[in-house]
Amino acid sequence: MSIPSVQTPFKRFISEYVERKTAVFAFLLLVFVLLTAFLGPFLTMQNPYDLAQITIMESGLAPGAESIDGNTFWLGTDDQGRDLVSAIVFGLRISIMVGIISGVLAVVIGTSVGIVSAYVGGRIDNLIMRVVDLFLGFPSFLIALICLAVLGRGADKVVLALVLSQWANFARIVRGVAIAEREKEYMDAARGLALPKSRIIFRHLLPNCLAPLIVVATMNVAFSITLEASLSFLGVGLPITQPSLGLLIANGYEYILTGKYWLSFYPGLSLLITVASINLVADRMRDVLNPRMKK
Amino acid sequence: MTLFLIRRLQQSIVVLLVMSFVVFAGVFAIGNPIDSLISPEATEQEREKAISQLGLDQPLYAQYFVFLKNVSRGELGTSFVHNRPAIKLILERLPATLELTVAALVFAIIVGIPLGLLAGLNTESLIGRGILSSSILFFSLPTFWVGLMMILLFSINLGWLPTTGRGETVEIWGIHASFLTLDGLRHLAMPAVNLGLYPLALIIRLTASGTQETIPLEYMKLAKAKGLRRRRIIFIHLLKNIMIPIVTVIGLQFSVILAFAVVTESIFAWPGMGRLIIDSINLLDRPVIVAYLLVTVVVFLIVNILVDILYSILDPRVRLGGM
Repeated sequence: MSIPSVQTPFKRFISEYVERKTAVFAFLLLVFVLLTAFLGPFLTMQNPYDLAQITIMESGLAPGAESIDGNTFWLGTDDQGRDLVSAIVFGLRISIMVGIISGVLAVVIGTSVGIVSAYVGGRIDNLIMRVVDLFLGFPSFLIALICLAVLGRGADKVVLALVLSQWANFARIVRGVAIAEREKEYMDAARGLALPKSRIIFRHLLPNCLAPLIVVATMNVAFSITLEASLSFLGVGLPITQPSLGLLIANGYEYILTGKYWLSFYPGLSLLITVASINLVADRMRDVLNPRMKK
Repeated sequence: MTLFLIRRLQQSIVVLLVMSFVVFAGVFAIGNPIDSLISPEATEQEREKAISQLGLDQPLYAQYFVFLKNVSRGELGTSFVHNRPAIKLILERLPATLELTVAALVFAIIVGIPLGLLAGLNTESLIGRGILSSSILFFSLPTFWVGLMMILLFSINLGWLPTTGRGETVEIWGIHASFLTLDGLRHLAMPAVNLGLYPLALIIRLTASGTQETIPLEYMKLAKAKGLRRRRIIFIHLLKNIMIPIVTVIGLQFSVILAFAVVTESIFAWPGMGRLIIDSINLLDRPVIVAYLLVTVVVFLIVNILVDILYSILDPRVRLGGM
């Protein structure tokens, strides 16, 4: 006699997710990218920014060339003899860290503002939403550019610029959901128990508003990574001491006319793989989580 | 309609004032521009003289009022670097940027709508799935990197297209345009396609999902039952109804593309305002930064109002009225 297996929502989500092969592949790719970013720097053949470990003798080598001590530069070296694989791994970590930190901060701030705005309502809600409208009225790239024009370069400033350019999105989404949730019976029950306001908002209302956020928040990390790369490429993002993928591509740009294409090609390819895997995973998650897409 | 316009203009002016203060106060906070303008060997007196000439010795609020007064006269200050009126510098470059933006949008629309229709009508086939998957890829492509790769492929390896500049331009109504000469078009092609990839992906997805949602509707079945030709059903009954969300998104995307033109212009050395703003940020050329931002805000506000009006024309159910 077999016991019918109980399907938890999470298990159902997994089993539906794996139906599409490309989505599974994208997930594995994402895991690989994340592992590379966080463990990779311990495994690369050199620390590309430790001047003692690089030599000018090995500068400008094409992909596949051999180093003096017998290793292989699979993706070549730059004009200072830096192994490009190592540089990409180190850059990937910076890009992903900036993307995740600013993505999470934007979600936390946007969600808090949105939910408080919905719960409090009235004039404060109105005022907050005006500010949100002001932010949403401008493309996030422009907001980030203004911030960095004002603040100058630096990792902390880039994170601040990315958060400022994204939070309003989340405030808008969460407020919409929270206003619908506010009228439901469990909220009446929570209010009837005379629980403190903060407890009602963060323990009762908040968890029920999170579902629609998961997909947007995931895509937002990918968007933040691209945005940071674009800003760093333009020379207004991260400083040279924190070479993210965007800066690597910018450095490679100078050599593209002299035929050293690998210096900008491979960092960009890494960026593309990172962003595309996140977007593909998020896309599949949306299909699975959205009941309207079901047949 | 008139009431709507008046209200929107009022709102726009408020937004503009708020933005001008935020921008001015923010821009004021960045480092002292005098350091990058005067040679380090300048004497103390020369330094003082330059500071008072540029009005940098006044307190912040005084500088803002002087600024507002000048703005109302259409003067946004003189560029520290170019020593010319900042607003002139920006307006000179605005047409090039607008041309690039419009060209990118036109590319996205012309290619995107047919591909989206194709994908929406054949969701299960290989073509449809392929188009939709590659549109996600387009979303993920970093614009600036694609630009570099296009230069690598089409200019360096194949030698088909020039890498930089606008090429030969023709003057119409006092504005230089590249799209009317063959040389100009060759220069315009790569930047426009580069900038248009993101809206292209968006339009493909919107058209495809709109098509999918519309096909099972009653009026589509009726059209089919009446024995209308397939071409007529698709282009009249289907396309007309899915155009509303597409047009809205195109309008909203206009400002996004206008902002992202900064990136494309830097790569292809397109002489628009985007390149100017990056140089100005690096040189702390405040008047130009402020002028750029204000001009951009004005363009956005105008585009947003136009989109609202267009929306009400396309969908009579939308009333503009009092809001």
